[in-house]
Amino acid sequence: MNHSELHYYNEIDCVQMLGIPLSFEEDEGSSVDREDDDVSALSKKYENINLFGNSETQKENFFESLPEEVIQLILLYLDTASLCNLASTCRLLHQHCYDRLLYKELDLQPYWPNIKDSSLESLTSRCRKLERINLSWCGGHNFISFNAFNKFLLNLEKNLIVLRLSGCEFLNDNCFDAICSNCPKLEELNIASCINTNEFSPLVRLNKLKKLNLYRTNIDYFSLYQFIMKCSSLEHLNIGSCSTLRNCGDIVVKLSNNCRNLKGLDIWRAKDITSLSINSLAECKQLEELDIGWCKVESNCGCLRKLAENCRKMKKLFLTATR
Amino acid sequence: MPSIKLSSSDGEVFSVEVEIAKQSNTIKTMLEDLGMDEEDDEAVPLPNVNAAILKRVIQWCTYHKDDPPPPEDDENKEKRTDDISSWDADFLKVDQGTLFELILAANYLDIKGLLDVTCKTVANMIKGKSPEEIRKTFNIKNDFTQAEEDQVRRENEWCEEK
Repeated sequence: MNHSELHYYNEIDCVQMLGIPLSFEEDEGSSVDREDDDVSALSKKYENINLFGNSETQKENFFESLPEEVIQLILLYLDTASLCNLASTCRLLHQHCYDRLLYKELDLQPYWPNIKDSSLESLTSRCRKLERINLSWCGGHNFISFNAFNKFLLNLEKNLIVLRLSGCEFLNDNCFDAICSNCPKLEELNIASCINTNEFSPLVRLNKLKKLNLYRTNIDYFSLYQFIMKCSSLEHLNIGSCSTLRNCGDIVVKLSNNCRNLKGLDIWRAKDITSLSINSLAECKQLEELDIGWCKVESNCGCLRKLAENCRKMKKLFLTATR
Repeated sequence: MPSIKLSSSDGEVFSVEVEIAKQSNTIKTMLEDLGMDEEDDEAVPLPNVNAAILKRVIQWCTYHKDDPPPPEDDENKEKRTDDISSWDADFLKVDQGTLFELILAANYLDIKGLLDVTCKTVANMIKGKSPEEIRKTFNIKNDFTQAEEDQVRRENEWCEEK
């Protein structure tokens, strides 16, 4: 099953049937044992079918005739999986396909059932210049250990800008600390549904973040408060369904005061949200998306009106179960 | 319309409008820097391109003469390969030898648009194929030792279809 073109996991995508019309006229009536003849005719026909679209007589490997820089130009158009498949064909292409400059972005989510410690290990030397990695959903059933992840992370040249680890079971306190210490350029971090992390105080070190997704994590008030005070560049924050997070209303007020570039906020099912905190959000003029579903806000206090009047860029407003 | 003459490696001479020929940065530089006179009767020699390929290159440049200049490469931009125009796709329905010769010509003549679209076409021929299918497509000889092949397979087994 090839998931490389999908952004979600699916059991069956589609089945492509390939075939050609066959004519048996030439065999008609000529044979006693028709079945055998049909089979041999078929296999003969198939021998001549070229499934791969090139001319039959071609004997030359044209890659050998291309200058190195042109081969690199072609490889720049390939996704990681195609690079890996091409690397497995011959020495020349192996050498080209392992070039570090080709591995600035790595999306392993479509391959989540296959990713193990050994996969990360084999990618380590190629990926030192990595800037974006998506490991979401990977590493279930202990396929990835926190040690293997840390080793991979520590081998990078600290250029990571985007790190997506949604639903990664291996993300424990040790991993989280390693991330916060070794990714000084990080602008996007997604650790939604990573339920094995409890110690969030290192978060304060990631003060270049623009997007932070903490949906359904064990984030605590004090760590988040400290982070917000240090990270004025924050544009998107998701703290939906964080059941252990107290004083969410106060967090929203601090956020409104310190992160004036805020474009998106998800506080779905947050506790302790008052009309005061929603009022303060009206200061975030860049706000485009807000989810306050199940926050039990008093909607007749006028805070929603103020929000609507002040946040003119608002595109999406979720008010599920706001009465 | 002023035109210039281009001479292929096998000696055939083509007369081309200057504006069309200037899509090739190599020719453009020759004309501008080396002071080659546009009215000059002498043909510009292109020793790396044969007549059959040059004819196709001129055909491509003629069709694309009114295109805006290609954008500078943006490293962070996603490299798409599904945006080849239908005219280009038809134009590139050629045998593999011709396709690779077009790449070499586009590279030598420095025609960015043609180089991009031919490289994309080759990338599309690689995408979604197993190593064995790629070898068959491009007639690549497997020159790994057994040990090397085992190691490469181990390193890349995560992206095999399962």
